[in-house]
Amino acid sequence: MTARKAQIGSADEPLVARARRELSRGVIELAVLSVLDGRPRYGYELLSQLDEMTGGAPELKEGTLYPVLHRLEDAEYVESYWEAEGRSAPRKYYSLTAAGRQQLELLRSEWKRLVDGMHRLFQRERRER
Amino acid sequence: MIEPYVRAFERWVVGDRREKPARSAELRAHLEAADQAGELDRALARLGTPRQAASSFGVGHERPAASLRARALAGLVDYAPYLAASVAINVFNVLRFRHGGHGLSIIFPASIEWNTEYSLIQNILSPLAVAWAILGLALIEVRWGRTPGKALLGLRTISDDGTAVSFGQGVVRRLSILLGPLVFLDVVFALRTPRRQRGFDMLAHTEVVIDVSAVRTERSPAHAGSDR
Repeated sequence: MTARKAQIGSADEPLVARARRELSRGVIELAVLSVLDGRPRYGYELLSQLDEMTGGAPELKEGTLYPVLHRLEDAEYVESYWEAEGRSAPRKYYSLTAAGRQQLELLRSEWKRLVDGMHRLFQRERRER
Repeated sequence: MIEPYVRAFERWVVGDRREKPARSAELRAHLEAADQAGELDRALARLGTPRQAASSFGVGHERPAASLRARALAGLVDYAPYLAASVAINVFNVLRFRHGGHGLSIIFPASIEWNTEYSLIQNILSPLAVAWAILGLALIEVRWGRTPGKALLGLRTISDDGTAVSFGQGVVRRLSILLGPLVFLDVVFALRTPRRQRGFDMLAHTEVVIDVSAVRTERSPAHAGSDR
């Protein structure tokens, strides 16, 4: 196990990155909607919040965040507006719509079901070992 | 550092008169926020090249593939000078044959072949027509984002990563014209591929889409959070 960990930490770096990417793919929409559930946020703030709240898991970059935001906007789960807040440069804020809140509830319950199922699977594996 | 990056980004981001400035403004706001947080370098590193950033900010919106009928109509408009030159050359050749005893050569469409047997008009007009069909249209596409035919039909050629096409891509996707009458082989691919890409579109990593504006009408700040 230790040897495997050492291997993952060095030569298998792309494998780890790929595994993270694969696992993150399905949860990014849920993560973004969750952060927006608190209050409207602008892109950079959203990115920082997600990084801070999740400790970098899921791994999120601008190249992932903005396409997700645009998709959510097309689906009318989020809407956007510009606000200057007394600054010279305005910021584009994203906020949840009513449909977005419903989608968030759906994703949350599905996520809980998935995590519970995986948890039960891991526990059974441990007992059988 | 922000402005040159945003200007380079604008070269690659796809969109109409509303969408391009909206995307640029969003990128600029993002970079300014990163700058204020003292993380501009990290943000730029994550974004990559301006073209990669344009891909990130441009994708996510649904851009439906254009129908073959619309593309054919746009092609008729764009290639009109090329087709007209091809017809003119052949009409001239027929007249020359009837009046001067020269051998009759019918060439359709025009090609870049140079032959001393051909009339001077054919040797000059034919390469010019081909140059228009390949280089001219590629230049127009890079400069204005769309060719006249695509603008009329509401279409746009984009890279398959969602960015604007480069001159090289514009040229490669038009090289099928050099196949002459066999150009239909290239079109056959468009009948079989999910995004209706021709063979040379696949080579150039391009696709033709319906030019829908992806910019939504944004709410006024006054409504922010009002539905909560």
